[in-house]
Amino acid sequence: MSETQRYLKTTAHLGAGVRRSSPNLAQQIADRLRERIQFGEIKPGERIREVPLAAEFDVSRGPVRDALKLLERERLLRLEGRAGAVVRDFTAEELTSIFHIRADLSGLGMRMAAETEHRPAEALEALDDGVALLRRIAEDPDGAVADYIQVRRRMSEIINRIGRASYLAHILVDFEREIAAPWAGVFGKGRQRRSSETWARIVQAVRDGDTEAADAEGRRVVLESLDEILRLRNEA
Amino acid sequence: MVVFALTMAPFAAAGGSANFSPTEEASTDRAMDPEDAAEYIVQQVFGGVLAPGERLTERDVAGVCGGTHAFARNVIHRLQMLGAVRFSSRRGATILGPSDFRIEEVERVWQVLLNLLQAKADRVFKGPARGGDRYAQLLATRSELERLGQRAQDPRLSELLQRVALQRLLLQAAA
Repeated sequence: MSETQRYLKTTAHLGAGVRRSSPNLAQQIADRLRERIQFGEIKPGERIREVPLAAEFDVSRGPVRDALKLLERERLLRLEGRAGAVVRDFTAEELTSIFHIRADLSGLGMRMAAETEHRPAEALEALDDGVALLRRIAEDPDGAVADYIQVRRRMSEIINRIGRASYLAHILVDFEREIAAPWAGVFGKGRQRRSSETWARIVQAVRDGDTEAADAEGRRVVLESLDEILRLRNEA
Repeated sequence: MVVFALTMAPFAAAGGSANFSPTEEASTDRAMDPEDAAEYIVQQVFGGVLAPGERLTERDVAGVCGGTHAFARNVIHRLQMLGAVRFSSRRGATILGPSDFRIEEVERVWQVLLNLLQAKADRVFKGPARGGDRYAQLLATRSELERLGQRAQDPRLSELLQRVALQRLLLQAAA
């Protein structure tokens, strides 16, 4: 088991994830496709076809079609004719709008965790471990983007759980799904290093109960991602 | 869920879309739009016919709006997109209620997002008058958010706030 998998397993009970039990076939296929989009394996604008997917998952086209409809409702892709779908691409204005919303909500989530009187030691330790792991992944030339994203996501869940921010978590998960494709593209090693340092400051602020710093760093980590996405788009 | 004392008040009378009238259309899918039917269900919740936190089955929807089960499924999906309904594998669709989220947290999210929209639009949000019909409050809030969203050129933020506004009013109705 990799270090990331071990971290995810040992901290699963501390997260405030939006969970679902017994997913049906279409949901299982949607989960796999969503991960591929989130981890940058399928890119914005790329076409997804029903027939090869049905063959890959060894199912008929029905569940694949249902999975694509599910992802369309999550705004990850748009259906194109009867044969498949295209992963959604965003204008700079759409990205700016979504990231500004996320920044303010992220700041609120960190603030709520910092102002909570009861911050369990186990959760704080898990956040410290998460920061250490983010730094190791960022420094490892072979460290996978998917690992970085999963650890960071778990840390967000833990912080939202500390702040009893289940509504916020719910909205943020929807947004993270939606902008997963352009977002995954910015997680180069430089961005990972800067992001891991911001996360270290977030965890410190939550630990110290410093609400203003937690809010400011919570915003910063999102707005820095936006800057990176827009910079890369301008360069392309 | 059993739907008691169902009053099929004309939908348009409460300020809803005028092209949907459940009394006339209950026997057929034709001319019925799932979006309007979903609005009608929301109106029934604020009217006390359906309750926040309760299960909402396809049969309930068909009972209120008429139409087939496939149509009712579409209506429930639309309600999910509006944020009025949540799904769980254990209970299926339920109308958003107090066991889903804390109202204090929803209020804080509402305030943070509203501040963002007001800053982007450079205008103050003029909320509806307090008290009275909650559905009328929802319609007035939506219309004001739409206006500010256009001014801010940020339809996404306006759309999210309209969803939060509905959820906030549902939780207030349940309190």
